[in-house]
Amino acid sequence: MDIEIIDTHCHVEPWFMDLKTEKVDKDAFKNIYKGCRHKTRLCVASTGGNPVLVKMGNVAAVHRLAKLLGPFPEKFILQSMVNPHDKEGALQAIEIGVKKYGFKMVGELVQYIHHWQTDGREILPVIQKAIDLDVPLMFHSGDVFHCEGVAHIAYKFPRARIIIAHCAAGRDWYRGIVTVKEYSNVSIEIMSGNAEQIKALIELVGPNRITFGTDFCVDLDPARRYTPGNGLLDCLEKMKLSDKVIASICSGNAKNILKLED
Amino acid sequence: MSIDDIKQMMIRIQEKTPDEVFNNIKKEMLNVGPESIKFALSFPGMLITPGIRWGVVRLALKMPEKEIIPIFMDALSTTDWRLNQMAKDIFHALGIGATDALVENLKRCKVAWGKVQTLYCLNRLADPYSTLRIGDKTLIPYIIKAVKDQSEEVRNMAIEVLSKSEAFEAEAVIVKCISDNSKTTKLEAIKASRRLRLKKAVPELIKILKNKDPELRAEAIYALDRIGDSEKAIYIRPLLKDKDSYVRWCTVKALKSVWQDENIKALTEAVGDKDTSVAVAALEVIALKAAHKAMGVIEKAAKSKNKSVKNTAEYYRQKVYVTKNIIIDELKRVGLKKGDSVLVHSSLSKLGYVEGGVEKVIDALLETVNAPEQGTVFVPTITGTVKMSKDDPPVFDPINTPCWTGKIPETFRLRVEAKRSLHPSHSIAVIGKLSDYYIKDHENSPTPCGKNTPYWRLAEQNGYILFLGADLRSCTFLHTLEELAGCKYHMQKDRVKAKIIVNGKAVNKEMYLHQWGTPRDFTKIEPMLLEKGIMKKGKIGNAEVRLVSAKGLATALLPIMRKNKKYLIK
Repeated sequence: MDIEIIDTHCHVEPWFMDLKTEKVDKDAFKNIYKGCRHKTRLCVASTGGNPVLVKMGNVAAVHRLAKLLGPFPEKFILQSMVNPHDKEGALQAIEIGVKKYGFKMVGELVQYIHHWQTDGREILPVIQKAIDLDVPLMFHSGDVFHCEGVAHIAYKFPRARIIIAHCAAGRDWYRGIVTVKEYSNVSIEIMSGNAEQIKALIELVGPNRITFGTDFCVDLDPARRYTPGNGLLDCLEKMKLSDKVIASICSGNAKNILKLED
Repeated sequence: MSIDDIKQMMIRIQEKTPDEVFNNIKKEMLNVGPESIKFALSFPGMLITPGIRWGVVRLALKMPEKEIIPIFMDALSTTDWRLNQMAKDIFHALGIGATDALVENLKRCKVAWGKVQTLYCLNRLADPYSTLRIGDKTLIPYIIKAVKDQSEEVRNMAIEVLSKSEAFEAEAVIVKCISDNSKTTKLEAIKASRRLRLKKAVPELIKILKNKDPELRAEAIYALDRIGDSEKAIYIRPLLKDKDSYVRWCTVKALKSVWQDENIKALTEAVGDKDTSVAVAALEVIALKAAHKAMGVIEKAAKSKNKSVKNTAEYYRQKVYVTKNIIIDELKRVGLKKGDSVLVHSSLSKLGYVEGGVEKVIDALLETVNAPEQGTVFVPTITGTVKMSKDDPPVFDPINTPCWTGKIPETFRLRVEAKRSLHPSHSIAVIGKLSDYYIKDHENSPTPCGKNTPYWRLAEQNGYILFLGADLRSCTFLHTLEELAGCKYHMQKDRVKAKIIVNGKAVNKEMYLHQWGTPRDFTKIEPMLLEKGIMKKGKIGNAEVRLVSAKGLATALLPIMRKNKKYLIK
């Protein structure tokens, strides 16, 4: 079976760019794909959570990502990571990203980097903007309270399409998923190649609300090989899931959420 | 290797390659036993990397539990995050094996932080949806005791654990905490009331709506929202004028759950709120709950200068939302009432977006006539086709033969409580008080829609024909009138031998079948029906609704059709 992968959770900056000279390491990009077993597109955020880039501000980060990865649309799907405390900048960055550069998602939204409460007032305009522009939002994982916040948002913004990263809540992931389970507008990015966890997830929310993700290349292979993606795919294949379920998890669900055409 | 040797090696961990150094001493630590773990934990600065912390935990798990648990219980009470994390990992890994020790620690620990961390670990054992999925209810009394602790932190954590553990037996304790002097305890108790949907908390939550702190007001509104008691809307609505925009936003959203028609006026005003989030939310709630009553508000908002408001209005204008209550309200308005019998012709797609889908449409139909207690709803589950004839007789299995009349009839017939008549081409599915009356002997009727069929019985019961997004073109009852008026074009000339599967066995029945192909103009009678008051019209979502009295239709049309047998032919 020829599997297409849309990795909904990746970062490539700053590992592939000299932040001072803004010189892009194009060879490094090639290396990412050398080890991929299948056609893969990486969904990456505009700042990757890097403190240097976070300080650049919302709009500058979007321009930078577009400059860096915009020329490779067949390899990368881009998203705007914004700091909601800078409301005007965040809304502008999202609009520029989506309308000018064709970004497909807002995120990842990391509550502990920018210090906001998951369902706090700061984030409301960002969610509304994503709805207005018809793009989904990716929230980082957190604790169970964070999942309650995501559930709160999903409940009160039924039109928002949400992905929650890293299977929601670390060691308390099961409670995290139960918390967001009833909201069909929340999907879960799995990241882990843990068959037991994936099986439980499928039982909890069904195969149509699970997306493939790796967090590549944070804290991983110094050679930047795409080993986590292949590892996760191995796990899915060993689980003897149907081709249809594997295709949904690997790319079908992401295509629906991101509204990507085949 | 002695403990001193290990000490020397651990000091080296602070070198550039800590994981490597740790790997070299792991084996020796295992040989020395729990003392080496105790020693490692006494130097948290050396537990630099996640690899080392996990490594120590894994080593500890290979040692005797009895010796390891006290060491990590001490680590649980320290304020060093690394030791806390490792202790929590150990107790998570030990699972149920750590229960007694944790309960004992909760009783004896004198440090508030230690109790908080212990409660955190107990949460994983008591919460049925923790990753451990144990749900140990015997822990609840100990946790309830902790709610009375002097420390605010301990109280808060205990309330949180109770709510996650679904400890409904702690309802009184949690409700009491809503009036606690501490703001954080109040907040935690409000959240717990929301998680557990505690109705007894409602009076206390209403009091909080007048609290000076906007955080508490917002949280109380969210709790009332999830508890969802419509009668309480009266207390929530005034907060649409709250000074705090987040409170106003929470209020708008809550009014969707605690819905009353009186909310429309207040929400219409809120569409003009200076805060975009509030304005958009108000518009959305109106669109979702009362689009049919407030289309003007949506139309006006579509011309708003505020982009988000305009965008939202346009979205809902195109995709009108229909809810179960909207359907019920409109069906009642056009004249359907409890106890009625009604035959439903429908088109789900014409309704627009229905919250809850086809099931909610069916629920709405049943609820309007109060079926099965009083009224009866039936749908045509027709399986007849042009091909059916003497040469190609029908084979009908009431359980497995799907109908072609649409999503609503097909879903309706699959409901557990639905009964289906056995006619091989014009069966019905029915739910209600008169189910047996309507389906009786349909298969023994010589014709599909004649006097001994559910269709004519509907007229005898003064029942109604409802067209939900459909029109008179789909009116099976008009075939009944064709039969009664003696319109020969309606019936095939030859009798056919139909095969009906009953309880797995085939039963043969001889009957006349419908003759397909004669073009009719059923819709031309609509003006007459409206003029005589036999038909009433309404609108649900994008769909027109027509309710026709079956007896009235027969009385008005039969004399005409008897005189002119081709009256309905194009």
